[in-house]
Amino acid sequence: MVDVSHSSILAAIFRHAVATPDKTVIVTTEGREVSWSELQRNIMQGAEWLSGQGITRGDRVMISAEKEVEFIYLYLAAHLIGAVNVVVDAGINTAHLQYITDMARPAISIGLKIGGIPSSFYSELEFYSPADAGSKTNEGQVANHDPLTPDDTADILFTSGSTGKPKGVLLSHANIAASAENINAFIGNGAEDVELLGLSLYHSFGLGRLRCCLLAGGTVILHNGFANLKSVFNTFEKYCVTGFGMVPAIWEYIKRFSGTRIARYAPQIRYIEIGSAILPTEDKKIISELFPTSRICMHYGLTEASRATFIDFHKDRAHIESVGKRTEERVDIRIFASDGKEVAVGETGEICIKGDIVTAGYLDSAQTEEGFYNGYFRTGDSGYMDEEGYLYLVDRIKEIINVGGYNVSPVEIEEEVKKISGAESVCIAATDPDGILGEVPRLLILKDTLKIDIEELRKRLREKVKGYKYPRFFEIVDSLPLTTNGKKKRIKERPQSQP
Amino acid sequence: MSISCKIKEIIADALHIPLESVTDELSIGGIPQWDSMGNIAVIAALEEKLNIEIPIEDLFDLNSVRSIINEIVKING
Repeated sequence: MVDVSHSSILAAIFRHAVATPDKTVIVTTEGREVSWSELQRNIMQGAEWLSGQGITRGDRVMISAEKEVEFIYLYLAAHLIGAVNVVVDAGINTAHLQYITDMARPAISIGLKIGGIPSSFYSELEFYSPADAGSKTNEGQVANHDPLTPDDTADILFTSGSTGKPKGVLLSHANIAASAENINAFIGNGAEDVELLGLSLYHSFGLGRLRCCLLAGGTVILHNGFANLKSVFNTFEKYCVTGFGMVPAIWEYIKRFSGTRIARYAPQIRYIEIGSAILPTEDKKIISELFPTSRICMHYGLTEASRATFIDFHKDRAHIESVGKRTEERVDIRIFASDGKEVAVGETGEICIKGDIVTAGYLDSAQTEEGFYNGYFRTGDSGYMDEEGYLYLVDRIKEIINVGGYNVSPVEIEEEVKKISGAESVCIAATDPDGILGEVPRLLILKDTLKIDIEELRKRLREKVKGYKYPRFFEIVDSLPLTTNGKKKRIKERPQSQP
Repeated sequence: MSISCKIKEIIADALHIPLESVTDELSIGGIPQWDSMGNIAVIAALEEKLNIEIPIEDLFDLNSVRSIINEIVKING
């Protein structure tokens, strides 16, 4: 027998393969159905193939997260033999790939050709035979003679760092299992669920959703994103989809391109998980109304701590502006001041998280040192917790405008501007007009979106925000300033410090 | 240049893909570049460069290059 005690996800797959061998676990983008027994067999064959390539425990496998079953087989096969997946986007640019390769030093690359490293495209691999259901796997070749542990690193995911260089987040088998168990416990995923997986698999959210479904014994319908909503809705119908995950930008897209059509499927949709960015309160209410009986869950978390809090839009309606609260004892959330001391309830500070969902650190140990306060992972987000334990996000730590020593949250002012003016596309950016007083807020409003007179906005905003928070400049612009990641560029570039 | 050629050129330009890959059969979501953000870029480019406005209620039915061409031909009467 192959030992899978290090991985709760693999253990669950092997259990489901025994209990429901013929049940469909994955439907590919081409519509081919994969059973649990086929999944298990192909993971084993993938493990055999990796072992045959000389890959052993701790070796890093660069793997392009294409929405194909071959990715899923080899991703899990690497876990089986104790290798570490370095999961990357299939569309990664050359410079980024080179950076990650230099950092992670993979022993093999799958799906991407990298000079100097044994590499194969998926189309070149023949590690399994889809048609040969009776093929045997030589378990001796995949048996991990060296016992693996849940604390072994399973995956390395790269995220944007504040310095501009991506950070390699180390996630153990225990981390990813705890995260999936935590999510399933809150959402209530079960073996009867059929999930449309349109999220990218190279992101923590999408990959996490895949693991949740595998753990629960459900069925995953792989879908190429949400761009083609007609296809998404047809898939809802064809496979009686019961749930899906989305990010706020996808919700905006669904609204714009299909209106409220999605509500037709509300009776069959048991759950929706939303995450990765802030969803406006108004949208939370709209989704709640369109899906009156579905479990609409939104999480707060990061790649380094996936996911820390949850909110159920229906049950937690009274706290709809929060990002929810921790659901498990094993997740500990504290708010710390900049001196590393915990602040009182209701006071704003940096949100810090401890627990088995939290990464042990980064590939670069220096980044690990900066990333924790006394064992608590520093999220880089500011927020506060109320007396009931609901967590409220205030801003990104790095997105604070310092006006004469007072910290101003751009998001806070933007929200007021949106409420008053009806304009959705606004940005508070820091500017330093005279080089004496330091930063002041500057309000940028996208052309043609302002629904009231600008003088009226000035007047009413003045009543809403304190003097130092009040924007010095009001400007109508053709486009908002964006970072290379497409986020609003609120903080002005600071000059490099002198040596 | 025919309207369908012009439309294909705009789509290729918006998605940063070669013109020859924009076939009538190419569907939205059919290639990684034509994701939801790509589709927003395509619609915005078509509206701007052809000086048209695609009705919101029609957007849902646009799922391929062919359907986009048909829609624009319909708008232009």
